[in-house]
Amino acid sequence: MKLLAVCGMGIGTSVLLKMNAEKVLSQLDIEADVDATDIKSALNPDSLAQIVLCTPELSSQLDGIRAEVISVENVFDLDELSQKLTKSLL
Amino acid sequence: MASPSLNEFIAPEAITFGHFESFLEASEAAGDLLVSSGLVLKSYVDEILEIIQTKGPYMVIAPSVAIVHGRPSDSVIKTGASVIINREGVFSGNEKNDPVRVIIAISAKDDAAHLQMLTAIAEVFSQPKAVENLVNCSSSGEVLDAFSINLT
Repeated sequence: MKLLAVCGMGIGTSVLLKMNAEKVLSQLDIEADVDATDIKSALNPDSLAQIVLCTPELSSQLDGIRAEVISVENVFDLDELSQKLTKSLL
Repeated sequence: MASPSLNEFIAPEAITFGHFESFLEASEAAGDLLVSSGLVLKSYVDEILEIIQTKGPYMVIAPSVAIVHGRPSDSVIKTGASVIINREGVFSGNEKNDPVRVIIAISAKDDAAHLQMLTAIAEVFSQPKAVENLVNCSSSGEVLDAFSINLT
């Protein structure tokens, strides 16, 4: 499956989210591709992502996209990410 | 293979302790440290401030911690970071994670070093007492020590 990690510019927060999501997904034994990207790319209607990870301030800008949007309050908290991904995937 | 630790991306002069009236002012100070460290041009700092003003405080990504940056562009000379420690904290408008006490400004060229730096940032701040340890530091040397976690 495919996930996107999104932030305003696709080089800071999104990369941190991507790294932590990869850690959590491998702990959960889920095979997935996670790409870090900016908001504009996440809004592309051709995106195949099933899940988009972002911080709460950005989630409203992603309204209407096909993917499920998961907003993460503490990007460094692997437990939060793990709980939210588990709830959505398992 | 060992990756570089965060202290390798930050010069001692790029760490400042201070009190700030607003999140914007603190972010500008963090950006100015990137300029004085020779990592970015002043236009990069203007961009950071514009992003905060237009997109809101989404860069406050964990309790007490903000990572501010602009786009990879010609304004970026070299990948690196600066640090502002603001013990009293400043309010950004990010309800979940305010007050902000640690601001890291990063200058990112879109390169491998930038990914190594973010990996190191994630490693430092995934430590349970990272913020507490940082705000209790009294010198830039102590901050660099706190950032010297080595990855394996």
